[in-house]
Amino acid sequence: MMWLRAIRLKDVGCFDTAVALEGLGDGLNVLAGRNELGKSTLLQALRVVFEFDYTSGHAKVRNLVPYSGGAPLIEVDFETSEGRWRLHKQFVSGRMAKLANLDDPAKSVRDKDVQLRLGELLKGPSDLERFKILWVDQSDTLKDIAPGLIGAGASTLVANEIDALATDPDMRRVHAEVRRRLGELQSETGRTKKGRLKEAHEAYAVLTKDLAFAAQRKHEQTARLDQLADLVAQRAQLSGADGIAALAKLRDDTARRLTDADSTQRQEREARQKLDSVQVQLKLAQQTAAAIKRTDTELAVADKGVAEAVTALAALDDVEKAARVDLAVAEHAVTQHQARVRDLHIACVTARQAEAACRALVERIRLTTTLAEAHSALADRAQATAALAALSGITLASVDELEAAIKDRDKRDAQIEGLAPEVTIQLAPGAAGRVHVDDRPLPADAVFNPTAPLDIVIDGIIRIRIAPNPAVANDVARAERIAAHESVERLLAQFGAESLDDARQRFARRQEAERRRQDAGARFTLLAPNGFDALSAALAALDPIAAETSPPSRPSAELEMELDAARRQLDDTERKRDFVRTALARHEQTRAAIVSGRAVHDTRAQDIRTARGGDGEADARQITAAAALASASDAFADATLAHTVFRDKLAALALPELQGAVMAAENRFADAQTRLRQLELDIKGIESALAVARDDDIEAVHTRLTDVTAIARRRLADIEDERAALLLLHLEFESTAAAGRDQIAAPVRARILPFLARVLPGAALTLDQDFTPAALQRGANTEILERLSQGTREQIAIITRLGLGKLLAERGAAVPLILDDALVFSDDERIEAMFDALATAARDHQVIIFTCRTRAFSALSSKPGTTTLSLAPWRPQQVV
Amino acid sequence: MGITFIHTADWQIGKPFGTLAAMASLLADARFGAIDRIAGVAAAANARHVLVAGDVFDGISVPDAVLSQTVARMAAYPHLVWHLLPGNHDPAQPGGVWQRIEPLLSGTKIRLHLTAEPVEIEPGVLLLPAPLKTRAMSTDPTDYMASHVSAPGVIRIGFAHGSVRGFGSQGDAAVPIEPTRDRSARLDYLALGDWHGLTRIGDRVWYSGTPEPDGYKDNEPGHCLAVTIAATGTPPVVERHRTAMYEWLERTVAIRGAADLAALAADLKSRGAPVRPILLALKLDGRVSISDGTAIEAEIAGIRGLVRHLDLDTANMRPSADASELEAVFTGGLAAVAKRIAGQQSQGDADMQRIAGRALQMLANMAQGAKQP
Repeated sequence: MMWLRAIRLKDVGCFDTAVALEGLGDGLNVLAGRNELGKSTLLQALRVVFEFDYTSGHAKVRNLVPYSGGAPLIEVDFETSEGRWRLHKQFVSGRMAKLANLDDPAKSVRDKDVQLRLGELLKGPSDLERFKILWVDQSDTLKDIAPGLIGAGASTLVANEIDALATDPDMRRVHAEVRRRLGELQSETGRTKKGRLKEAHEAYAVLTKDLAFAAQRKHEQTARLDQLADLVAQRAQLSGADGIAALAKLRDDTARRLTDADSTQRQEREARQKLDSVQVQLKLAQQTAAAIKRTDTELAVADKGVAEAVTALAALDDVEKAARVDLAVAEHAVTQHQARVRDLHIACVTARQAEAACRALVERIRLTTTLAEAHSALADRAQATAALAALSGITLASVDELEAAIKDRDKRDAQIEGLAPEVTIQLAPGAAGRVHVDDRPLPADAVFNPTAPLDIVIDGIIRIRIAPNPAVANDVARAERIAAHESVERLLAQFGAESLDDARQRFARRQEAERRRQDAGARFTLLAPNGFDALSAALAALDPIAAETSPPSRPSAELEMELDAARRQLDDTERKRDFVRTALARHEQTRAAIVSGRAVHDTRAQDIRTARGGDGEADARQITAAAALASASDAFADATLAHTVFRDKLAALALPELQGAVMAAENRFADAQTRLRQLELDIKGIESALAVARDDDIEAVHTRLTDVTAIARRRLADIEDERAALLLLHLEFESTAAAGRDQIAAPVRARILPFLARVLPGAALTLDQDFTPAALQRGANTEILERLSQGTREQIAIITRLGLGKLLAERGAAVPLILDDALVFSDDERIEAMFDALATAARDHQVIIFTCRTRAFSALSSKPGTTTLSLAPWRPQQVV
Repeated sequence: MGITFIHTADWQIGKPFGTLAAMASLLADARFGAIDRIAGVAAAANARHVLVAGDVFDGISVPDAVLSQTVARMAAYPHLVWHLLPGNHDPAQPGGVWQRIEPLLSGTKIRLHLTAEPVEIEPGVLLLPAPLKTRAMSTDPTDYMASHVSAPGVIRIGFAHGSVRGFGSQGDAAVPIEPTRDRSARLDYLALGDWHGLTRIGDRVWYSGTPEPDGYKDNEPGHCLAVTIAATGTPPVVERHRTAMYEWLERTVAIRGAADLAALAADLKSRGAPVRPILLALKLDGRVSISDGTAIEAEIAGIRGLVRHLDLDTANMRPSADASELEAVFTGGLAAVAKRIAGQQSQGDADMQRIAGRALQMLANMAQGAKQP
């Protein structure tokens, strides 16, 4: 419990003289005055004197120093359940503090003990915080309470207040220790690690990174070792018996074989050159021998040619003589055959003339006959034409027309003459042809319905006339009948016929006449295609020949055959004669040629003999040439054999392949040397890298890092476990405190409700978890606090404080509620209600109002039990 | 004519001990010291030959300085012939340790066996090496020994590195070795490396193990063998000699309270701690009362003082409290908080059990602190 009784200030803020606010009552106290009276300074001074140690240099303390300077002196009289107290503090200079028990001076404390004692009096240091929520600065009413505007401020203080009520001191101490230890490991939100935990995490991260790096290096080292082993094995293989030495041997062997081959090639080339040389000599010898031989041959040929020419001339003389005999015979035969041909030719002409005369006579007879037949044909055609002319009116159509007219006439007759009885007549067997109807034989089963009179005659027995009855015909029918009859008559007259049958017969005759005329015309055309005149002219032309007609003694054909044979014989004879003549001419030419050839041969033989000299000289030269040829032949055979040997040997050596093999062997050897050098370099490079790794002792480093990392991991896990354990404890403490807060929250809301009902009837206030007002419920509407008017928000803020103040008072921890220039936004009606609420609250704890609105608050000042305050000068007393 | 020689293997010189940051250099140095101790055993056994059956070095890339120091250490005992065999950690591959160490061997009695070629190391004594050229192989490198014929009366000693088939535990190397190789190759002794614990496969087949332990595996590491063969065909006499400087212990304590750790501390003292250098891997397993938290921490601190290194694993230790203990330790609001956390511990998964247990322990510690004036 706490009541303020007096506030005294010297050298504080705007007060240039010492002032005092004395006589504060238990309930409602009102200090009304003009602006800049110093009301806010009073509240600030109250806060500083309770909150700060007298030695403090806090800004809030320094802010109290007047512009004119000085050391702020604050003195407060207050009363608690433990008695009446006077708190006296001087700040900045001449610092001192004293908490004097006005009832028992022995309980007074000074200086450093003051703050501790204050805490005990006001239920611990944290309880001083309560003043912050219940001592409200000018215009801070809204700020301190509105959610979202003050951060943790008031709500935290409320929570602390509730915690203090909900938990016991041991629990708070242990929880504080837990929070402290937890705070050493993590931030308040738990998102950031701190202290040992952070260090352990960082150390583990660094080690993990180092270990990864070491593992990488170790891996590289292992890879290098494997690579080195591989390279060394390759080097060993290359350096070994099967490696570069073998390649060198292969190269040398191949080179040696190539050298041998080159030697062989050189020998072959020399052998070939020698062969070529010998071959030239051989050719010369052969040419020499051939020349001698050719000279001999030519001489022999020339001699032989001369001899043959002589012989040929002799033989030619004989042949020519026989040829001339043959020519004389042939010429005689030609003359004979020519005469015979001439005779036969004459006979032949004569015979052909006689035969022509005979043929002309036969032709005359034929032409005469033809001419007569032509005349006959013309006559037949004329006759037929005449017949046709007589029958010109009748045609097949006209016959049909007549038949139709007759039928029409008969029909008319039948109509006119009435129905004739239908007569059915069946002929008895063997009666056919004996019964006639209208002169025509009666068919076997005839039916008649005559429209004209009909006569049925049985030859030699009876004539029956059947006729229609004309009495029934009318005039028109009769006229038509007459016309029909006339038409029939006209047609019959036109045809010159008496009846239809007659007309038909006449038409048949006309057809026959037409056929005859056509036959006659065709016959004439055949006989005299060119007409009578041509026939007559041909006949006339034959007349003279026909007069000398007599047959030949032999047929001309036979004579001609004989003539042909004679001519062929003549031709043969002439050909023989010409052949003989040609042969004689050829003989002459041959003779000339032989003579000429003999002369050539003679000349050649003479020349050769002149050139070769004598026979002995020629023989000696021939022997020498033969010997040279034999020698050259032997040398050539030897050279050929030698060349063949080397050539075969060279071929067997396969020089191009051998050259390729030498090149390949050299390349392989060079490659192997290069590879070996490269291997050496690579091995040295890897060994250098391995040496570096060994110097770093990377394997040991890796092992050590593995072990150290494991330790760090264990240490980190241990600290994490520690944090988890602390967090578990913290959460359990929080949970326990929350349960306590929940127990108190309901009473807080219950204390607020009466004040709220007085100011905002029918409204309910929703509190957040930390007891700050969140929303106002009016009827069905929920209004968020921030959206309410400033006046309403201000009223709610004060009502909340009233509720908390009442709760604290009920629990024996009452704190005066001080409002500095509050309710500045309230209208008249609401302010009255708030005055009632404040007056009600003042029954439970002290309420102190500082206001500049003297008139508006006069109603509050006039309420019963209200103490009206005023500032008065103060003379500080020496504090002992 | 007989022979006495020393069989050792798996020196793994140059091995880093990253998890033992403060001890790393000491442990590395102890591996060099093993050479001295082996030489001492050889001198005592009157042996002239030391057979190192592979993994002389920890890797093929150990620094040259390590190689030089190793050679110098062996060369310091000129009466001994050191036979070195490439193993899976230091296979005979180009760029590896052997290529680099060869130039350093001039004037020493260090013999490298880089090829599978039998060597007469003493008259009538044939050493048949099976060096590894790669880290792993699918064929038995000792195969050739079976077909190799030697003169009658010659003592045949196989020298190999790999995992004997059918042997209970798989070795480090992925290299199979026939367990009956001594019989198929008529060997008088087969000196094997790879398995770090001293192991007898048969009368004539032994793993010497590493002379200086390098891990917590409890398989009798830290020895070398002195082997005497009187004549071919006679069983070898094998004597084990301890060479370890450091003792590596691995303990899992099913803890119920601080007393369990007190028992462990007593055991350590009985082993000579803290004078004797011990490295301890301690795993605490079980539920402990939150009231014992402080006492347990005190015991652990005591143990930490007894050993050269403590590798503590409390992941499976679960601080917990029943209802009565919660009531005794916590009051007011703290009791409500503790009760809810205990509820989460009993109902949560393994992670939640661990975290909630820790939270409970912290809460108890802080509550006790809050009560203290």
